[in-house]
Formats: sequence, C-alpha cells, structure tokens
Amino acid sequence: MLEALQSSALAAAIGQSQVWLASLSALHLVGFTLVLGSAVVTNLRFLGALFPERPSTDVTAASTRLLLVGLVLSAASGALMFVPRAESAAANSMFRLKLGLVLVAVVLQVVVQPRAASTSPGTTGLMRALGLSGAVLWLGAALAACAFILLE
Amino acid sequence: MLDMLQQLEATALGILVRESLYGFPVLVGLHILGLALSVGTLLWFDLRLAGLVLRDVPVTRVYRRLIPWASAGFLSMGVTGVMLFTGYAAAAYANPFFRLKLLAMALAGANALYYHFVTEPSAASWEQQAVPPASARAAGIISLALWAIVILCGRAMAYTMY
Repeated sequence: MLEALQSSALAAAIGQSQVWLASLSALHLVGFTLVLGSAVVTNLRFLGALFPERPSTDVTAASTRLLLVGLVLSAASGALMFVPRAESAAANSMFRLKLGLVLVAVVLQVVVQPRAASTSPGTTGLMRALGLSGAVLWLGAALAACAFILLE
Repeated sequence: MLDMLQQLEATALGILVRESLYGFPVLVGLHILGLALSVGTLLWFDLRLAGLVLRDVPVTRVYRRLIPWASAGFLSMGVTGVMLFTGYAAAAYANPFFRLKLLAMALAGANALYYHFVTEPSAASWEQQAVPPASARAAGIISLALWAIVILCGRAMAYTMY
C-alpha cells in the first residue's frame, strides 16, 4: 500500500515540486505552533503556573478548540508530505515515535484533562501530574518531529 | 556587506554551526521549540485581544501571566536564530524569504509598541470587556497575521537556501 501511495501521481506532483513541499512544510509548522501553543498554556495551567486563580475549565475549553484547528492543519499538510516518502517515513523510528506521542498527548488533552478540570476546580496533585505528563508528551513529540526532519 | 557576512561565516561559531554533525539540527530544533513557546503563548494574548479566548479574564492580567513564558521563548528563538545566521549569513542575506521574515518581525515589533504606547494606556476602561475595542482587536489580529508570515517565511527559507 505504501509503495502504491508513493508511486501515485499525487506523490510525483508533491515530491517533484519545491513549491508544494515548502508550502506544505510551512503550513505544518503553523499548525504545530497552534498545537504547542495550546499544549503549553493548558499544561502550565494544570501545573498551577498559569492563571492559578481561574478554573482550569476556562483554559481547557479554549485550548481544545485551538488544538483541533492546529491538528487539522498539521495532519492535512503532514499527510500530503508523507505521500512522496511514505516507505522511508513509515520505516523511520523517529516518525513512529512522533505519531505515537502525538496520539497519546491528544487523548490526554482532549479527553482526560477536560474531565479532570470539570471535577477539580483548583490545582490538585492529580492535575499537576496530568500537566507534567502533557508537557513531557508534547516535548517528546516536538523533539521526535525535529529529529525526524533534521536527521532523516 | 558581503565581505562582512563572509567573515561572520568564517568565525569559529559559523564553522561550528555549518560543519559539526549535530550543531545545525540541534540549533534548528531549539529554534523551533523557542518559536512554539514564544508565538504559542503570545497567540493566546492576541486571541484575547481579538475577543476569542479567556473572555472573562482582564486583558492586562492575560498579558502579565503570559509574557514571562513568551519572553523566554523569544530569547531562545533569538539566540539560536543569530547562531544559525552566523553559519549561513551570506546565503540568508540574499534570500528573499529571510528579508520578508525580518520585515514581518520588525512590523510585529512596531505593532506591539503601538499597542503598548497608544492603545494600552486606556485599557483600564475596557480590559474587562469580553470583546475589546476595535484598536485592540486590530492589534491582536495584525500580530497573529505577522507571526504567521514569520513562520511561513522561516520554513520557506529551508527550501530555498541550502
């Protein structure tokens, strides 16, 4: 399947055009910035370092929307960039690590953290642990993404 | 100018950035993380100015809470950006996306200064409003647009310089 994807007309169109690759890569980075911006503020709130006087739900509602906008942008541009190098990317351990960490981090931020925020108005030990977990997961995903791009 | 840029490239730092195995990737990685921290937190303030997030938190409180994190990100981005420039100064200077990126950064700085010196002094009368006045909303939206241009140009440089 990956071979077929990589030899498709779409793969040729994207892979042979610097303009396509540069534009997709730029959109991917804009999406990545939105995602990490959402993650940074959410996890700092859960750690009690940002807006500690405000209920966490103030932050989680807005950050989920921001995260989803960033994810749509990143995923769409990322999928198109994946097409011309599907086989090498799928075999790359940093790429797999990045996808795995992003998946877990998104579930944590979209499902787990909002539930915790709605049940605990203040900053509890559990919320700090969730904030630390989120920060570590997103930092790991960002480092794996950089390693994939730069050391490929 | 070109001579000066070539001398910059020939410094020990320039050679280290260009020729060491991990120097360039590590610096670019730190530059991107700095970008995520700086622009990622600044965009919350811009969105608050636009009246789109944290609508019941006063604007100046959002600014005071976010600015230390954004500043740390900008410091990291600035230091790594200068180091990366040292390695490829002549090529960067000639690159149109680098020039556009610098222009967008300068305009973003001017927009921030205009907000602080012209719009913010009257913040006491509107900072509690869910949707701030047009001048504040414009400052937020212009900032978002300019930083998006900075990111787009930064990435375009990678495809047109090396």
